[in-house]
Amino acid sequence: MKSKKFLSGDGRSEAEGFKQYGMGGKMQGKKFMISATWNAPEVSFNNPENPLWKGKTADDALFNIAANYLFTGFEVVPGHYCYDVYNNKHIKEDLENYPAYLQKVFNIK
Amino acid sequence: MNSTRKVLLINTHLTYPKWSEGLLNDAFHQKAKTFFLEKGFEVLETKVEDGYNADEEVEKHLEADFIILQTPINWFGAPWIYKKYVDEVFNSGLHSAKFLSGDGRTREDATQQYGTGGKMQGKKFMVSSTWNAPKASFDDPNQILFEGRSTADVLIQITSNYRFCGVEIVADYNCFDIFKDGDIVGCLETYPKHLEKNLI
Repeated sequence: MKSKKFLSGDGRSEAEGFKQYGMGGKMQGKKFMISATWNAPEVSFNNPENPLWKGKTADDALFNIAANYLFTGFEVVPGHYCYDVYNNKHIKEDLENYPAYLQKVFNIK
Repeated sequence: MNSTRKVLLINTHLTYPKWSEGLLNDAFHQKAKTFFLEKGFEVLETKVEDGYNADEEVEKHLEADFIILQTPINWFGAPWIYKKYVDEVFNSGLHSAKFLSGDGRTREDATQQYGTGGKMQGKKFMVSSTWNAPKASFDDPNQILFEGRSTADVLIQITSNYRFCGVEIVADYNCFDIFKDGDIVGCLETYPKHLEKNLI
């Protein structure tokens, strides 16, 4: 921010034509993705009956991280999540499927 | 039995000299302190930047009826010292089983929901935060950055820790646009009314 390499401001300056808040980024064309490991099980997300997340997605729970990149002009692609790591039996599959996921979300031929 | 109600006021402002000295967050902290003292509460305080003992913070949380986090928003969350504080304090509360008995799921009952293993029922948690973001950037589907999200949606990574431990989350209080057009004086004046409405 101080070097103005990531952004020119928060998007609301006169020079920026009073665009919306958060539109002062300079990193357009780049993409950001989170790959996270969770104790939380997959069924706790997207589930209005879960008392903790109340229907929120895993991406929603990590919005504070993604927001920094959105603010500076990145496109944020959906995260890759390995859930329930202490109990589950999917860790091997999650690892194996990760390259295919990267290929898909970054549209790599 | 001591029936005096207690509030824990956590101020997690991090000083950046000549840029963010902490005067505004301290002003909100003092406003809350005065309010609760006038209501007859015992006030427990933590200034994260000044240091703390994680085990003692667990005990302060257990003593408190209400917990308020006063924080500036630095890059869409509390300053990094707060994440360190949370990991250290909540890990202590997890290992000692004082904050929670587990994540709510049990081998005996597969229907138990994730996040229902808390032991802190009856307590309330509130965030009071200061933002560069303007109020108009929230709760509006036409806003490109937040896409209709509320302040509570953006603060979910903070409030989730408390909800996970059984604490009720009450409405956050926000002072917006503090560097440009925000009404800081008005925000400070209105703060006690928010505390009265949501906690008393």
